[in-house]
Amino acid sequence: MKPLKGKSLGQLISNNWILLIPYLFLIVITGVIACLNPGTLGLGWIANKSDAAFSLILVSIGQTLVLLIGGFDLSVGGVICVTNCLSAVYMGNSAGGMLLWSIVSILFGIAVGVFNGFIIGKTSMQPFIVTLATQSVCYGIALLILKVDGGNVSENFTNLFLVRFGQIPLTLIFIVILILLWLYIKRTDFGISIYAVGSNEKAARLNGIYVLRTKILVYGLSGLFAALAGLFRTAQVASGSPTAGADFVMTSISAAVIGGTSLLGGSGGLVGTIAGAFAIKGIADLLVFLNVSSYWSSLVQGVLLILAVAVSSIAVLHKEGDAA
Amino acid sequence: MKDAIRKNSTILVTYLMAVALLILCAIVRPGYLNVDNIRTLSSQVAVLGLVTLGQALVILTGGMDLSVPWMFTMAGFLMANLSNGDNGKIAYVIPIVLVIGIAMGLFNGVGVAYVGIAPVVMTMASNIIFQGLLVGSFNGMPGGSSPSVMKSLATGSVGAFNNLFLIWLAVSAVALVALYRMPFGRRLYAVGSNEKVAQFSGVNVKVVKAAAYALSGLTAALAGILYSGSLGQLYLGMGDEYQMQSIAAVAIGGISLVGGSGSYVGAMAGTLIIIILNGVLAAVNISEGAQRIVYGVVLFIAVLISTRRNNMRLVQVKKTTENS
Amino acid sequence: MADLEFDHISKSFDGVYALKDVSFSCNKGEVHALLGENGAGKSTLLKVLSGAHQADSGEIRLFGETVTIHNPRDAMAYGIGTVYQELSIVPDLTVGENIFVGRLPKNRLGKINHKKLTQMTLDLFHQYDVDDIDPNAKAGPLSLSKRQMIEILRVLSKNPKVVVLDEATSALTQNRVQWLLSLARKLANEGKIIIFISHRMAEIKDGCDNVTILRNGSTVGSLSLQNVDMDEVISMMLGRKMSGYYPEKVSTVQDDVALEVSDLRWGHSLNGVNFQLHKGEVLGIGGLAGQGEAELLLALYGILDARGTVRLNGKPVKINSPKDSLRNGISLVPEDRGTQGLLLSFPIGFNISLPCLDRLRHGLFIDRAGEKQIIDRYMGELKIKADSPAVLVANLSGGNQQKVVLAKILAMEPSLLLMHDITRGVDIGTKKEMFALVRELAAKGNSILYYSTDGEELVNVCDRVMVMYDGKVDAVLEKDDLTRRNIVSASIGEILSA
Repeated sequence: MKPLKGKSLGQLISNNWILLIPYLFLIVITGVIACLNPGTLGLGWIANKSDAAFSLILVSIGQTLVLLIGGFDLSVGGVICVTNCLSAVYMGNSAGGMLLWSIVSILFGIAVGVFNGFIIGKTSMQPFIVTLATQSVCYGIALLILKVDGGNVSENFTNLFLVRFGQIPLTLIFIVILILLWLYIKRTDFGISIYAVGSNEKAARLNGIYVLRTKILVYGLSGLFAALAGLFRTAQVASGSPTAGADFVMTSISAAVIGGTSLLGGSGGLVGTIAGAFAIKGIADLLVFLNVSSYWSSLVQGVLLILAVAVSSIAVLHKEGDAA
Repeated sequence: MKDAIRKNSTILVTYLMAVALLILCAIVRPGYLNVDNIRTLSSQVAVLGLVTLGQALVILTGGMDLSVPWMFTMAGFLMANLSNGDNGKIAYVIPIVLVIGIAMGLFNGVGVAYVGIAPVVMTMASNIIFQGLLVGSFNGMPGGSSPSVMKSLATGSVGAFNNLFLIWLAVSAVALVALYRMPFGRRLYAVGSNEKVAQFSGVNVKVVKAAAYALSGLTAALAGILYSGSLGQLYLGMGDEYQMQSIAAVAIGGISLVGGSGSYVGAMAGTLIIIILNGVLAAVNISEGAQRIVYGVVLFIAVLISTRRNNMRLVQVKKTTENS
Repeated sequence: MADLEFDHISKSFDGVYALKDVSFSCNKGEVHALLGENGAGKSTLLKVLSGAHQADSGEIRLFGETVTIHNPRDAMAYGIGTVYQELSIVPDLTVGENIFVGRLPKNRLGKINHKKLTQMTLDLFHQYDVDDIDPNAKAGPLSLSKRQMIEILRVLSKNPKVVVLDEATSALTQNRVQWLLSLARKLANEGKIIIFISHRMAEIKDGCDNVTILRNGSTVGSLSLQNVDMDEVISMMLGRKMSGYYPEKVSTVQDDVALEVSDLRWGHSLNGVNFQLHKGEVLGIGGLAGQGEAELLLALYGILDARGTVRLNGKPVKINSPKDSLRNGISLVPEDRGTQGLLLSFPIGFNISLPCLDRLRHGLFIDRAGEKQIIDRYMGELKIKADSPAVLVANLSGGNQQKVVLAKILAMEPSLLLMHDITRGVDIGTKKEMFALVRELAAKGNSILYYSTDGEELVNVCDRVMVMYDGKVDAVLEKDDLTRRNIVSASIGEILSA
């Protein structure tokens, strides 16, 4: 019988280097910016980047969880729109108003998510279609609340979210907390059930994992994070728009994919996604920096997305070739 | 005869839903279904229908084409720009644009089939790449106008049905023949059902998948070309709605989003339902927000019905296997 | 009073009886076999015991107490552990996580203690003599045999009082089968009740004490396996006499070499395979798990890109894909018909004609009449039991499904057939037909490469057997040297007596 092989560090890296892709992106982007404009890098710069990417990071976290169980959440865009419009129209200037409508927004996001999760878990409807339908309903609700861009967001609300402790922004602290939470949850029963359901739902069920419950929780969390992202965005942009969330769907999926999460479910993680979100924002920034015409920027972003994913796809194909 | 009805009952139900919506339309706005409006609706069905045809082929292989918006838009603008109102140029402009459509589709096909990039990611990226190419090459919006021949083709009709509708029916007929009478169709279904089995059975999986995407590019381009004749002023966002609508039409039609099952005839019914539904919503004169909500709800119900019926068939299959 | 008693168990589905008044009993310390053709009711009976189904009437008594089992959790609570043929492995979880899922060791905060998990897994491995699986490897990429092992170990880790092995050996390679049979004996000696379902007569005879035979949902009889005449057991199963389980071996080997393989290499699995296969010959492949047998077949079929020389009828050929193989007259019966051989949600006819569509053409279109002819012909020749070619393959029994795979392959009229465990999960009656078919094909001048994990099959069906070890052909056995014992010895590298 062949003896068990020990795993050396070198082997660990060569087996998992795909996961390093988003970080490589970040390093390259940062490097280029540093070269072009030395002096911009610093804690202040990091703080700004953190604030700018925070909404995307929140949505992408929820999306990652959904992707892990093998689903899709297209409704995050809709939840962000509704949250944004609700806040812009009803919050007003009082602390009570802000608190109330923040809670309402969060509950709305969770409700949409739980509905998605329940339907997807109970029926065999495809997540893509279910969340597409709820997305449409959410967009409609947003339009009913606020027909055109506008609304009124109080300064206090904005300052609440964009507060800094010295040089360190609240957002950065939150990101760190989320990463730590994830590393913990990943190793609990809940974390295992997420990966199990995404990897092989039938087997997970046979092994006693509560599949329906897991799905409801995960989609619920996605709705929650989308709502939070919407609130933050409201604070950031200080106005409401019924189309606020449109971009977030595809970018959140991109962030997760660049971060190494598989669209088939069962593998990936939040830390990579956060790096992926930073990478996406970073690329957009870089293009502005390099004075690339906005007409061409989407071309570049598309090509880079393909490159990021192509590298890992080819690597996976290679690995399968060895093992068969 | 009874057998045939039973086997295709799902599709029949889908067509019945379309008819029900039409009747609803007539009730809610008597007189809405006049000849003029039917002509308009039929031309809309044709354009969405052609895009849906390509989308159906791709989804049958287990993939998805999110790049139809900009393949469509690219074709529409190139048609106008390259011919610039000159009827004489049509003879070679149309083939050129169609070839460009196939090339764009092949770009997707190679990425998905040969590099192994997930369809959602590949086509999401190529969508913005095509956008960048079009907008970047022309530095904004491309000029030009559609030749008069195209315009009269797109606005003319035979009886109550727009010319484009008839073109759609003709192209659909060809597609159905290919799917059911040619080896290609069988191989397409095999690949969508189980790639490994298809490979072991001697099917060239990569070629089949790439071909599906190439065909999607072709039909999206054809749709764009025909559409460019019907619109007074082309605009850059004109292809956007077809992305989700084509996928919804396919899902309503009973084609599973994981591939390998369902019929294109169902997708045709799905197209009808989407356009008629849009027509009903416009006729009823409710606000845009309410429209979106209704759209989402109807989409949900329609797919729920399709999925339920498809599932009843599969449950029978499972039950009998468990008893052996 | 016995320890486990089934008393007049009946169960029907939609008005059709699957089990009718089934009664038998078994005791602690006993390995009890359950035998019957497909559709006889074995799986249904076990599902009633394990809680996946509920009996319509009748009683099950465990240690004198009547048990009420409404779902799998109830069954587990009674200490009934079932290993199914259908694996429920989660590919992205590790071996340890798969075994202990739902009972993972946690620290106070709910976080999983991976060190402890690894230790628990290794302890379990040690307890049951397993030493070649890495507890922290992801379960997905592991071989079918290893995954079945994980499934078995998961059940054993719960320390059940009753262990049911439903075709648990069909996915295992020969050495692991031995492991399982001795394990069953060991568990029985520990005072457990073991129920063993298998289609492999040799296993039943060697490993079990008593057997209960089911036919058409009812018990035909229970007997002791000591000094029993296996032919009698088989006729009780079939309800009629079945003579000659294995066909008479008449040598049809010709001098011409149909296939010559030289220095075939691929990754770490094939390290220079050399052999010759003659026309009209059935050449068997034997050996321990993972010595390159499966990879050899996949390489010859074009799934794996191997280096080396392959000569067909003297001419070197380059095979890069299954399409190439089929064109060269090579066909493969794959290891797993569910995931490699058949499109389960499609009809029989669709599956059969899929590879040969190019031959059934009228210009651009499929020649439907020609297609129907081929389908009808092979359904008839192979005696596939189904109402029509429109029946979905998923609705067929294992044996019939395998027949569809064979039909699909034969429709291409191959001259070289590669076979990977064609009798896996196939009932006894169908197996017999398949053995006869293999010899028949050889008699017609075809060449067959026959890989089986069942040594007895290899001895009885093949003209010669080559035993593989470490990616190479280690020994070739024929004529008087071709015995089960020699195959086993050669597999573990023992040198044969001259």
